[in-house]
Amino acid sequence: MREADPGSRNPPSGRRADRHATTVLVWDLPLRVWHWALAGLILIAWVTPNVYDGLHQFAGYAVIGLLAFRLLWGFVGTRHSRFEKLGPKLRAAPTYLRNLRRGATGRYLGLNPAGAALLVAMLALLAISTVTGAMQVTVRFFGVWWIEDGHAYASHAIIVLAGLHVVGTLVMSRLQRENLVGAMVTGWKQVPGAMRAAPRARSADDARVPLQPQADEAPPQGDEQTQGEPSVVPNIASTSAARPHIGPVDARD
Amino acid sequence: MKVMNVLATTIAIGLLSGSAAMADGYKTCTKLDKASWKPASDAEAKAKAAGYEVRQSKVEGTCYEVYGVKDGKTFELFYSPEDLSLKHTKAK
Repeated sequence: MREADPGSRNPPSGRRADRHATTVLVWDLPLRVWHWALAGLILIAWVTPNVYDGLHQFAGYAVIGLLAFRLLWGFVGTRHSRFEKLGPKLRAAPTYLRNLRRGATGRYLGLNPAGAALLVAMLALLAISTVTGAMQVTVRFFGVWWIEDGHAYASHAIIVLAGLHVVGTLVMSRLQRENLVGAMVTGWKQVPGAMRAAPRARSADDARVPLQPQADEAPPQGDEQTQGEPSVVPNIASTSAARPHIGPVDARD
Repeated sequence: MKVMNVLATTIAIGLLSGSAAMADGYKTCTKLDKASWKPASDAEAKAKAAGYEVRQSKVEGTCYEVYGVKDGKTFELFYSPEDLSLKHTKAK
């Protein structure tokens, strides 16, 4: 994969003066609290089985509460918390993952298709893990093998997915030169449209040219389909120059 | 390519550390070679004789771990495969 060119065209993010001109609130506060609470509880649950049963069970019940909140928030939360865009994103995920191998990351304000797939898998596994875990401590299901095994496999898979999520986020932060971890702390992310306001680009049309995929490593049509999915890619009304999407961020580097 | 390599490595590390970090409780009952162990069914029979309803048993470390229910309470019983002595009882 080619390295990002050091002379970044991206304006530095988080600069106070122009923060609101180039960044937008993506992750609402309840979602951020949910995310970090879940991360902490998963960490606790990971290291406590069999040794600290009380703490392990507490973490599990707390995660059930978080799951209930997340389901609710998927319908009443702000734009990027809601589930309504998940369908198209999940359908785009296979193509997205194939293009990722070529280094085409696309650019999404909310979750990218891989992230959406991971979210759905994670929520499902958390549900399986917590429900089987709660069943294990009932007399009715205590020691029943498929409950035990289901809990163990789902829980291991959660740790694997969490690791994937962490590495995926760090790799994507590097590829796109945006602090995605910080974004989950503050909620703010760079506006794709603002990124195109490169110093040397005189107009939106000029800015568009270098962002087209290079001939030698052009992402296939599928990539365009993925990123051009109108219902997937946020449309930033406030940036008139914004195209509905941009090409892979490293396409011209 | 690099991204996929990193992801593959992560999965591998995740799986390894996942099983390694699984904190475990009681698991040492005997130093006897596994070939000389008494059968697990003997451990289950012993739990039954002690009044437990046996749900399942498995090998945990060098112990037979028997899942038993008695008087509406759940227990994990750890037997030594060497002499079937009860090494540890854990109320769940």
